[in-house]
Amino acid sequence: MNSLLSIKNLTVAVGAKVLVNNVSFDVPQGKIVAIAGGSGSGKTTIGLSVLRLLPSALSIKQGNIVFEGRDLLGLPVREMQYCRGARIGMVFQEPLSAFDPLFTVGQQLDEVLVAHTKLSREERYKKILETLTEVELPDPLRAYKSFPHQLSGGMRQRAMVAQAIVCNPSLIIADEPTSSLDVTLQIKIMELFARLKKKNMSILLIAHDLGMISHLADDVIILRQGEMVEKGLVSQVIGHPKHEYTKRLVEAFQ
Amino acid sequence: MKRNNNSRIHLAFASFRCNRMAMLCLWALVILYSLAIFADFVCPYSDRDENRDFSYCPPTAVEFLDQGHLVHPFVYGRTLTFNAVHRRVYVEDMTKKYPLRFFKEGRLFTVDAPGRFYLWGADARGRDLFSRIWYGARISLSIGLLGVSISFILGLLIGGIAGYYGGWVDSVLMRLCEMFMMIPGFYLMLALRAAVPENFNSVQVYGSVVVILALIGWASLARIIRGMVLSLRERDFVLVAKTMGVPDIVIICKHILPQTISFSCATLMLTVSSYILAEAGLSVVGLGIQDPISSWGNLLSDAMEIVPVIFAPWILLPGLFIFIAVMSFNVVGDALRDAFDPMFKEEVSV
Amino acid sequence: MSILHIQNVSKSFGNLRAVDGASVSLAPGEHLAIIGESGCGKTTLAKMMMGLIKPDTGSIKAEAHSLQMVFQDPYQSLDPLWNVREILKEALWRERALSAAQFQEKLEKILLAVGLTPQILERFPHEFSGGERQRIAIARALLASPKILVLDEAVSALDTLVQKQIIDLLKKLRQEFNLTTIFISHNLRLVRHFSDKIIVMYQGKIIEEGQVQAVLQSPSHPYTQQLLQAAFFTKLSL
Repeated sequence: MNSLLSIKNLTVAVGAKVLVNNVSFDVPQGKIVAIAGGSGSGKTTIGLSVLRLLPSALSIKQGNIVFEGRDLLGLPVREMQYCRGARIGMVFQEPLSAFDPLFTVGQQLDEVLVAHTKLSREERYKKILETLTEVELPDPLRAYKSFPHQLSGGMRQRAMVAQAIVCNPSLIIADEPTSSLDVTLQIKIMELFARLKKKNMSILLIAHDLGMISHLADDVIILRQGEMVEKGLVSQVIGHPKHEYTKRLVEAFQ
Repeated sequence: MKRNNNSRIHLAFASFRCNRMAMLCLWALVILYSLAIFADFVCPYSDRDENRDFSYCPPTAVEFLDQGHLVHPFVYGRTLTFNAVHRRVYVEDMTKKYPLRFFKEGRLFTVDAPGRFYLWGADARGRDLFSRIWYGARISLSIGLLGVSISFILGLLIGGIAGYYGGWVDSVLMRLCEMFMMIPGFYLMLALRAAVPENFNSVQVYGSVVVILALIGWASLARIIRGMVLSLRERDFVLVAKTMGVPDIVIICKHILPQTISFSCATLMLTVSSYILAEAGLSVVGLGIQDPISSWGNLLSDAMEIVPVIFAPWILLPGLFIFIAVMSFNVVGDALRDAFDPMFKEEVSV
Repeated sequence: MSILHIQNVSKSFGNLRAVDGASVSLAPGEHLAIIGESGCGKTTLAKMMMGLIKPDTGSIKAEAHSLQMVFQDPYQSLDPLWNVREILKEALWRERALSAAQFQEKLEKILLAVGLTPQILERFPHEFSGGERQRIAIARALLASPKILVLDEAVSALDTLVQKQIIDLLKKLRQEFNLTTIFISHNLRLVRHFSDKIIVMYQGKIIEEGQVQAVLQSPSHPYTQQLLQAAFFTKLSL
């Protein structure tokens, strides 16, 4: 199977408590795969495991994470750092805490480019403005010069997506990207993700909102307290849920 | 109903107990304070017991062997002679043996007169340094605690009220803080000390030093508490308490100030250590506790001349204990702050 | 006979007009929904109803102590240093002369009513999940014997499954305790089966008002139409 990202038998635990138990799934190129579950289901832990950004108390007990043909768990630190940002972008739930309040948006996007590319200053500037336009920020130049707190919530979230895609990664991991936003802004971000998918970017979408998942994602994995309860095409799993838990989730969204 | 040991305070103390360095320092403090409290028992002499025949006598060795046989510990007598360059030399007199007496006259160990047992040497007037250090510990260690309790309460209340009410109350109180903070600490201390009447007896001097310390220390604490309270008063649980009709002062004391506990504990410890140093500073220049009462500071004032330091280096020992006490308070303060801090981190989402 | 009467209320913070000439009247048992996005003034209006903020102009008339509020963030509305017993007892501050046995009885009753057990009285907030904390917050609000329960985005921070549980709980409780609810949210879908009357706020003004079913069927204001579209867009569409 030529998947972009392939996770097999991933188990993560903190001490004796198992947070993620033997989870396996693939993210094909150019598709959106969603991990759905409530809090405590382990979905954020999976996202952090791919990037090897787990808090020190948690450890990966077993499993393989193969990305672009390479096993991420065995990668040396320098290469992993390159992966993060250049090959895999991450969008967090709370944009205000994901940005450094002391630097402008432009400076922070520049930081990512400096770390992963050898572009000149002019090229970086051009690239950043391009990316800010792509995420449909109304005034890219103003956003470039603004500090995070000067942007509204929706604009900040778009700026965060910009930071994730500025190096043209092949995979984006989005952890509850719309949870802190109003409903109308959620739609804008969803449209943005749909556009990214058209550019052949894969997205691993971590969320609890089945409605958004049903619109955006191709495949979905239902997670409950670390266990994979059901997985498959969105039309299958949400249209004809087999497991009890999935049925309850779907019902709650009617 | 089973006791729930899961409160944030319990969890913080459990985490503190895992910190080895902090526990070590805590035990060091316990030992220092115990020796100070039980100085009457632990020390062979009172702090005023002088004997000019033994001025700057070096530490007395305890002998366990008499001509090769193991005997009850004893010390030799000493006689004072002067050597060729008129320096004091104490020669052991093997003919006079004074056995160590334990638990005599309510003291852990002592020797019969006219023998003298100087565990850590003697000062200029022949007073036992060991005893003077532990009687002095009573002053040095307690002054810090008393000073801190006053400045702490002052700082919490003033900072709490300024932060909670804002407006003109805040402005007035903060200007007051700034007035105190403007003056460099040591000079403020000297100025306040100069205001104390000449004829105060030693107890009154002690009390005034406590008050002086409290007055120089409360302002910086108040300012920081005020900053924390400004953000805490917007928390939802404070708003809820207001809607329930809980009076402001109860909200401040039971909801807001407890949230500052992590910062407050650390600052409490650091302030005690700075007060110990401040008292030592005052006493070293002769403005604090006066002779004949000993404090670690005024014991060190003896060590300000080079000649005694070279020939009687044991008079520097009080400095070691100041160091141990200050370091221990600092380490414990840092460890307490670390132990409480995870409390305020947001929940990690899974 | 209205239990809440808000007449032409305005509030500004510096240059920002948070609430601009809002008027609404509520009859007993008439469940209200206030819908709007961030910054529309709904939270400011709620705080003015609760008496936490004073309006610049206009008046809010309600019986004294008849309103209680449940806040959005279950992690911030409970004091982390207090245990559940102390948190709940605070709600009875105005009745603090009660005996220990009377307190215990009231606390146990209310915990059972919100679906929790009396065993949790000695526990601390960090030992509970978001949904459980919100139940504790609801129990606390109910203990103060309000006539009106204001729910400020009370389920927005919870997972969807838990949201449904809490909304069902609230429906049960408002019948049991004879409450009128004011549900504040940015999500129209949630209020469809919960409230009778709806007002929509935008930039401090009330731009639409009416019965929930009517407004959802045919919203008159373009902003309401936008909100409606957004809310039902994220509904499952298969």
